[in-house]
Amino acid sequence: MDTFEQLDMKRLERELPNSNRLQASDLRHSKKWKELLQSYTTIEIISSGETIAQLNTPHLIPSLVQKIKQLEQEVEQLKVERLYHERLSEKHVRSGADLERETNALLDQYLQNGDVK
Amino acid sequence: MTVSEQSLRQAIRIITSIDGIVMNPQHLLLDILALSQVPAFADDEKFNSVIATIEKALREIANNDAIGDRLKNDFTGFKSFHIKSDYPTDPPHDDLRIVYERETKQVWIVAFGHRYLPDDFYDRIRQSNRM
Repeated sequence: MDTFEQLDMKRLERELPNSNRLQASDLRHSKKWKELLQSYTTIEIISSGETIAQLNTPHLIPSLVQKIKQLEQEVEQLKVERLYHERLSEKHVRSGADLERETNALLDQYLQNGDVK
Repeated sequence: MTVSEQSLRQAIRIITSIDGIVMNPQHLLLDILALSQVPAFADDEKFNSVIATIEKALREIANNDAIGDRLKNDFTGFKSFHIKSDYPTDPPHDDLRIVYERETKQVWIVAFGHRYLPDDFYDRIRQSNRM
């Protein structure tokens, strides 16, 4: 992930050549911010302590969403693996009619107790 | 929409009729109930279709030693077989999984179900302490 960087107008004025200086009022229509986004993932424009504009690279939000989905799936994967690991020590196996009878008996018990909340 | 008791019992009957597989009865019931809780499968028609997919895969596992992916680490000796239901929530990936161990005369089915959903079903069962 790229480093997030906050810029204020004074810093822009100090660091950028005059020809590249941005005016807040010109942000909406100017294309100059595009070159800043090549260096910074997020640019926050601050005036008098207030954030008046924030620009993100077009891929930032989709990539974050994708990353969150990936991490969610990894968490679920770990949960499932934990469950399977517990089952390895619970080898009380049955087959055929015995398996059917015991499973139905457990279902009776489950239904008697009510649905899972 | 919910899955009826009739469909749950039919699922038990179908899966327990498969020759060559063994399973813990509690695990079998939990896995069937978990499948019935997956939103994409949560009516009789879809649930029965998913059980038919699971049945077909279990029969294949019981009769074909060559299929399945070998697992590692704590699950060395076990295999995982991935299949796709008719209602995948994250296409084109296989959304169902069966974990098993092939023994001399039988196949121990450790678990089957949706790979990711419902995310908290087993936790709720554990907390309810009903099974």
